[in-house]
Amino acid sequence: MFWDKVKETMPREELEALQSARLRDVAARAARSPFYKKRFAEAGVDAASVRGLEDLRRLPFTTKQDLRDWFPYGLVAADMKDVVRLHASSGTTGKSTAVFYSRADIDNWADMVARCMAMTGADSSDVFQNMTGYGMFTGGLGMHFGAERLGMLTIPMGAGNTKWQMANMKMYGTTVIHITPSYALHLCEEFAAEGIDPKRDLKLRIALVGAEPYSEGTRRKLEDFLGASVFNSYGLSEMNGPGVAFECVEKNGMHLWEDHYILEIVDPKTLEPVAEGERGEIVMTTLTREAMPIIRYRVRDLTSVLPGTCPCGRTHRRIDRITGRSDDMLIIKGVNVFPSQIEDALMSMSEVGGGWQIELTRVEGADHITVNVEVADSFFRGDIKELNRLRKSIQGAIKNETLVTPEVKLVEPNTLPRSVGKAVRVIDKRQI
Amino acid sequence: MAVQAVVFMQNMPGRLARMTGALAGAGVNIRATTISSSEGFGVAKFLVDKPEAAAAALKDAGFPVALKSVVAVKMDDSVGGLDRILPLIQSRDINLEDAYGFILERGKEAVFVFEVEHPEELGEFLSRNGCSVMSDSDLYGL
Repeated sequence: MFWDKVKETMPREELEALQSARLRDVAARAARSPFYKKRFAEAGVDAASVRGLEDLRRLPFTTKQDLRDWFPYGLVAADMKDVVRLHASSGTTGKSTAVFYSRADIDNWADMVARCMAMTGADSSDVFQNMTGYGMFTGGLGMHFGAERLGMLTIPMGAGNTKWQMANMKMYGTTVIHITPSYALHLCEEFAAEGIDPKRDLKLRIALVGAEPYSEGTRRKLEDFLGASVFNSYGLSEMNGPGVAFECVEKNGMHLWEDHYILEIVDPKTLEPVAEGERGEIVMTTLTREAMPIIRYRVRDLTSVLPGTCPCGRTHRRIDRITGRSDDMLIIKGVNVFPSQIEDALMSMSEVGGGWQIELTRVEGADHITVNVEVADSFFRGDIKELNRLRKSIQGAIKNETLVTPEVKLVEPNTLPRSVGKAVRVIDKRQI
Repeated sequence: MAVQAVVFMQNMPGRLARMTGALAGAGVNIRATTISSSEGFGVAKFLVDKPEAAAAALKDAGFPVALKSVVAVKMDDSVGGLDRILPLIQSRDINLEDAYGFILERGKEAVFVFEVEHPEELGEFLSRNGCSVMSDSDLYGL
């Protein structure tokens, strides 16, 4: 059940001493990157003066905008010959963010994921089917390396191809899966349609479910149908990807690996720490990262730290389910999308001048995005084919920018609802 | 060149009534109308007696409007009426973007309206070949 019992159950004083020592090192490492060299200087911080956790709050925050502004290599602190991998978020223009890993970073990441998996009861006798996307996203390779580290037989399926997924689960006797909640719900429907009862026909026992928010109701539904225990997962590419925090068998909050990260919860307005147990914005500092250390990163996810200790014996604090964002980022089919990306795509087209709006719904368990676009009066020349061409090119432009393919609806000018002074750009009708 | 008013609308209840209301309010008489719909939106075409006034009224009602040139041909309302015109158009390898017809007087006269890429050319060509291509005033004064 423990992958690294010494680290996972380390007494708090020792853990904090380790954090202090590692913070000293990481501040010094970070200062070698062009971004932090400048940012530390602006903040009047000498990295060499950082002695431990007591100095944390003297360090400046880092935001996603910083990562964009210094894309691609501005935060790289290691020698490029020691950088072995990158993962990148969506976006084909200046809105991208990329994260870099050294060999040791990949190793630490695999270790954390192995901890997470062991924590749910998985072990080297399990057969693991990884059902999230490989490639540039972190969900595929991150979980893959952790599963192999744990010693599971790993099936690198990736997302989609549901019939093949189901066949593999039967043929190889898959016992552990990693999947997004929306895809898991879809899978349940497909099983039902094929007359497969997972409880009777499969050997599934553990489902690691993450990358999108979901409710306790969804967990119960999945557990009832799949006959497997569902564990909630937390991660973000800036902090490696999956494996940052995970539920143990108590399923009461997610243990966040505090030997690798410093966790702060701050008030998004004042940026001051919230009181113990109160809800606020997650701020994280990487402690062991070599290639791309990130200091006091404003994650923008809202949650709280659960009070007390966990019966499982782990001393690493637990965060509650993520309940929202302190910015306007949307998670659509597991992909991070900012309304500003869609706005950029639309405004790059001369035909679009008026209002627009994003509508999010959930259709058969899967996210569905509709972008309503007002047809500019001046653009309309009475040709239905031209309108359909416009629809297609809007769809293409948004897909290029966000990697998500929306349904595009053309609407009459001045028909989209506007609130006083500011347009309502996002209507999220998804029930989670 | 005769024009018709082409209007963009969302495919939802009440849109057409809003248009006819605007046209009635502006004292515009509708000779013929067609509607086609695509993914969630539609395009309505109005052949009217006062196209400029129609366009202004529809714009005021909030709709994107374009005035598009058409070729209107008067013909006999009898068997083969249309079949005398279409082979001519085909002989020039002209593609019809849209077309519709309406009857003026049963058994006597009908009008067929063509939308093509180069309407002036088609109008001249059909006139030369004995078709009764309607002038603006003929069409609006029906």
